[in-house]
Order: sequence, then C-alpha cells, then structure tokens
Amino acid sequence: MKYLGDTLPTLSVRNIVKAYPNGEGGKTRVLDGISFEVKDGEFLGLLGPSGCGKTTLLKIIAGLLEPDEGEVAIDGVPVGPGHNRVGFIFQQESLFPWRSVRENIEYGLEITGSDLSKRHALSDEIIGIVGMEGLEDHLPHEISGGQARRTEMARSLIIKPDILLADEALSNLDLQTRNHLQGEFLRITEETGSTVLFVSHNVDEAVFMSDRILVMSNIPSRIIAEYVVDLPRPRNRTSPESLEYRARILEVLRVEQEKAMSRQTRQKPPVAT
Amino acid sequence: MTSAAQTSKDSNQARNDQFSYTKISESRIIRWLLAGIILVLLWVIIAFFSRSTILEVVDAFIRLSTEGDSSGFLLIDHVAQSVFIVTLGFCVAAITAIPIGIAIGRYRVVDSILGPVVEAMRPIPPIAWIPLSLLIFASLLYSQIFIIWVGAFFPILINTTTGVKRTEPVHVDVAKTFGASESKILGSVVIPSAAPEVFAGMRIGFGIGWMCLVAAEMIGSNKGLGYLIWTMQQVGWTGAVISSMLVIGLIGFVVSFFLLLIERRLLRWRQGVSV
Ligand SMILES: Nc1ncnc2c1ncn2[C@@H]1O[C@H](COP(=O)(O)OP(=O)(O)O)[C@@H](O)[C@H]1O
Ligand SMILES: [Mg+2]
Repeated sequence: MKYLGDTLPTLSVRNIVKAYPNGEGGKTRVLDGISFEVKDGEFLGLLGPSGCGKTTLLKIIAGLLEPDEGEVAIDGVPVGPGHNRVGFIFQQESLFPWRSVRENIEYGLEITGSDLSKRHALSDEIIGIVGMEGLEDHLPHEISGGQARRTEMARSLIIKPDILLADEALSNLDLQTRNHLQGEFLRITEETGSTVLFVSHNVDEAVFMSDRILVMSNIPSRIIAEYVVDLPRPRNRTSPESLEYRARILEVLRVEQEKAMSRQTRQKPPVAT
Repeated sequence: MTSAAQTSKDSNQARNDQFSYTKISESRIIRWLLAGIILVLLWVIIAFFSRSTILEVVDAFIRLSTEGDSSGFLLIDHVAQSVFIVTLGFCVAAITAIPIGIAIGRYRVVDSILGPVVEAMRPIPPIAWIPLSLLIFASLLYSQIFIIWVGAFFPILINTTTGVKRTEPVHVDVAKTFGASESKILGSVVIPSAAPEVFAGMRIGFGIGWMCLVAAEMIGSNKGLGYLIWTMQQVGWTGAVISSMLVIGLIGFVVSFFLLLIERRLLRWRQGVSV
C-alpha cells in the first residue's frame, strides 16, 4: 500500500446537508449530513445509487453549489464558492467545442493568467502524460469519447489541483474503453501525484481503482459503509479477493435498495430485481 | 457517448460525405438549372408586365453608371451613399444589441425588466418608424441611421439572447472551477458559445437594415439607391428602376455572403452553418 501522510487531510467534508425545492413548495433533502476525509495522495472511491446526490456533493466540494449546512475544508482551510483548488471532471462531456484539444487543456492557465511559454511547456508535459500527442490541434468533435476524457483529465490536472474530483468520469464509455481507461486513469493520477475523489455507481470499477471506498445510501443520503481496499496493485479484477470486496459491497447496496423499495411501496410487496 | 460509437459515427460520417459528394454535385447541377429556368420565367413575366426588355435594363445600367441621373450623381455615388449609411446603422445596431442581448440572456433580472419592453416594441414594423424619425431628427443622416438601427437591432438582440441562454451550464461550471470571474466567464464561455447565433442575427439584421434604408431613402432623401429607384419611377424610366433593383439585391447578397464567409471561418468548430 502506498504511504498516506498522517498530516492534515487534503479534503475534509463535515456534516454537509443539502435540500432542493421539490416543485410543490416544499423541499427534498438530498444530502443528510455527509462527513468524510480524503488524505493526501489517496484514491477515494465514492459509490452510490443514481440520484443519491453524488453530483450534488461534488459540486458543493468544488464551490459550485452552497450547502445548507456543513463545511468543506481543503488542507484545513474552509473553502467556499469561487475557489479554484479542485480539478473537476464532469459527468457529461464538457470540453469547449470551439477550442482545440490544446486550447482546452490550457484553459485553466489562461484564466489564472500564465504567460504563453509557460502554458505551452505545461501543456506539452500533460499532453504527453495523458497520451494525446499528435491530436493537440483537433477540435472536440474530431476525437473519440475516450480521447475526450483524457483531454478533460489533462485540463483538470494542468493547474495541479489539490484534489481531483471525478464524477462518473468513465461511465459513458463502452466496456473495453472503460476498462482500459481505468488503468490509464490510475497511471495518470499516480504520475501527477494527484489526490482523487472518484465517484462511481459501478462497484467493479471502485474496487479496481480505490484505496478506500465509501458507500452512500439513497436520499436523504448518508455514508452507510466504508471499505479499505487492501489489495496490491496492479489489481486483478477477477481475483478472489477483488470478488470478495465486490460481493460485500453489492450486498450492502442490495439491502439499501430493498429498504428504499419498501419505503416507496408501503403496501405493495417489494419487486424482485 | 461511447468511444466505439463515437468512432463508428465519425467514420460513418466521413464515408457519407465521400459517398454523397458525387451524388450531390449531380443533383446540384439539376437544381441550379431549375433555379435558372424559374428565374428566366420570372424575368419574362416581369418584362411583360413592365413592358421593358433586358436590353433596356442593361442600357439604363450603363447610362446610370457613366452619365448619372438628372442631378449628376453616378450610380456609384448612390451605391456609396447607401452602403456607407447602412454600414453605420448596422454597426450602431450591433454595438447596442449584442451587449443588451447578452445581459438579457444571462441575467434573469435584466430579462424580467427588458424582456417585456422588447416584446412591446417588436411588433411595430421598422418602416413604420420612418415618418416619426424624420420628425425627431433634424438631420436626414441621423434619421436614416435610426431606421436601420430599428430594423437591425431586434434580430441581433433576439438571436444573441437565444444564443446566450443556450450556453451549456456545464461549460460555465468548468470556468468556475478554475476560479473564473464573471467577466472571464462572459468572454471565454458565454460569448464564444453564443457566437453562431449572434452571427446569424447579424446576417438577418443586416438584411432588414438594408431593406429599411432603401425604404427610408424613398422618403425625403436626395441621394442613395432608394432615392434613385424612386425618382426613376417618377420619370417613368422602367429600365433604370429594374437595374437599380438588381443593384440593391446584389449588394444585399454580396454583404450577406461576405458575413457568411467570416462566420464560417470563425466558427469552424461548428459544423453545418448554413444560410
Ligand atoms: N437543481 C436541482 N433542483 C432540484 N433537484 C435537483 C437538482 N439537482 C439535482 N436534483 C435532485 O437531487 C437528487 C440528487 O441528484 P444528483 O446529485 O445529480 O445525483 P447523482 O449524481 O447521485 O445521480 C436527484 O433526486 C435529483 O433529481
Ligand atoms: Mg450524478
């Protein structure tokens, strides 16, 4: 296992509560007191059923949304709207279609006002790391979905964020590309020494990639389980140990799903899935 | 979008393009032929009713270009006058409509205040403003610029607003995660992503502005293509009326085509920009 510093956690999320208006004048509580920490250099997987508030949570951490209650701190310092300490890979494709691959990657440096030569030097380096050489001048509509993901990774990492937030970053890819990019994602974050909070709804993926996994419940969501994935890397997806983790997490999710079903359909018998 | 699907979509598209290239160029010739035939038919009908011939029109064109009208202005003087004024009016319209359109599209408060104002003003045809503008402005130049402004302003404004409202929220979020200020969000995300609509608005706006100018020149003017066409009607010189009409149409077409060229160049990232 890699060494995880025992200094201040890179990210600490304390008792986050968030409710959305539900359209009938009331409010639906989505996040119901979420707390956890991510250590420096850690790869933390966050698993949860869809609609449980994973994206909402990441947006709160990134300062794109304000929580109703609770606090987010990076390196011990509370952060709020407008901070630029995180890299964010969004669930949907988010490259600027009017910018070339390189211009997309350099975007963050333009915003912070780096000069041209520094921008080019840094973008050359990160383009090499993510493996997008030769495609720098392509426009987003000219590259594949997997290449778009690599470009987004480079765009987030070029500013050397304190933590990289990945929101189901590999979900919309076909299985082969996805498996390949899981390995690539690990290599890239390792090479750049990144701390990662990786949101997924795919148990297999979380077990393959994470140092530690948190499981969220349905809304109003809380953290309902935590696993330290103590397996050597590179991991084997189908080793008995991996499958063992997988089975345990799936069981927790199944029980959670049943609870949710019986809450929804009080009278009706739960439907087998 | 999966990567495999993306790749296969891309190659499909490439193949389609290649495949349809030869087909299109064939059917294109047929379409152009048909268009040509229809134009000639229209010409025959117009010539019949206006009792003029193509020779008369050409003759009028040459005489207007070399000898000029009764006040000694050559055709090129009228063209220069109209093009100069429409350019001025169009620039004023673009400079005012684009920022206001961005503000309406991006800020809900501005939308709720100015939205109704725009909707209330829009149904008045720009040409209906001509008499009032002649009363308001002492100078003919200002009143004509005002008319062009009224005509070009709304299409540019409304298209800009639509384009800005269509900005992908995720693109704004990307900018925010890098700590972009509102002005940087506007400059680096909102304006580039609204650019196609803004350009379309400018093309439509120019067309309407041009139309309005020609109408304005017919009333209380002493120079310009609208004035020329009007005085030629007064003296009953049909050939000159038609050749002025053709010049007006040609200028409108050339400018619109020129704007489209700029648009295509700037908006290479966006496929399928068409007239
Ligand atoms: N802007 C919003 N307004 C109202 N409800 C929202 C909004 N965004 C998300 N929600 C609701 O909050 C819940 C969590 O959404 P989200 O964070 O996107 O979940 P996840 O990413 O885990 O799928 C969902 O039920 C969704 O419908
Ligand atoms: Mg989500």
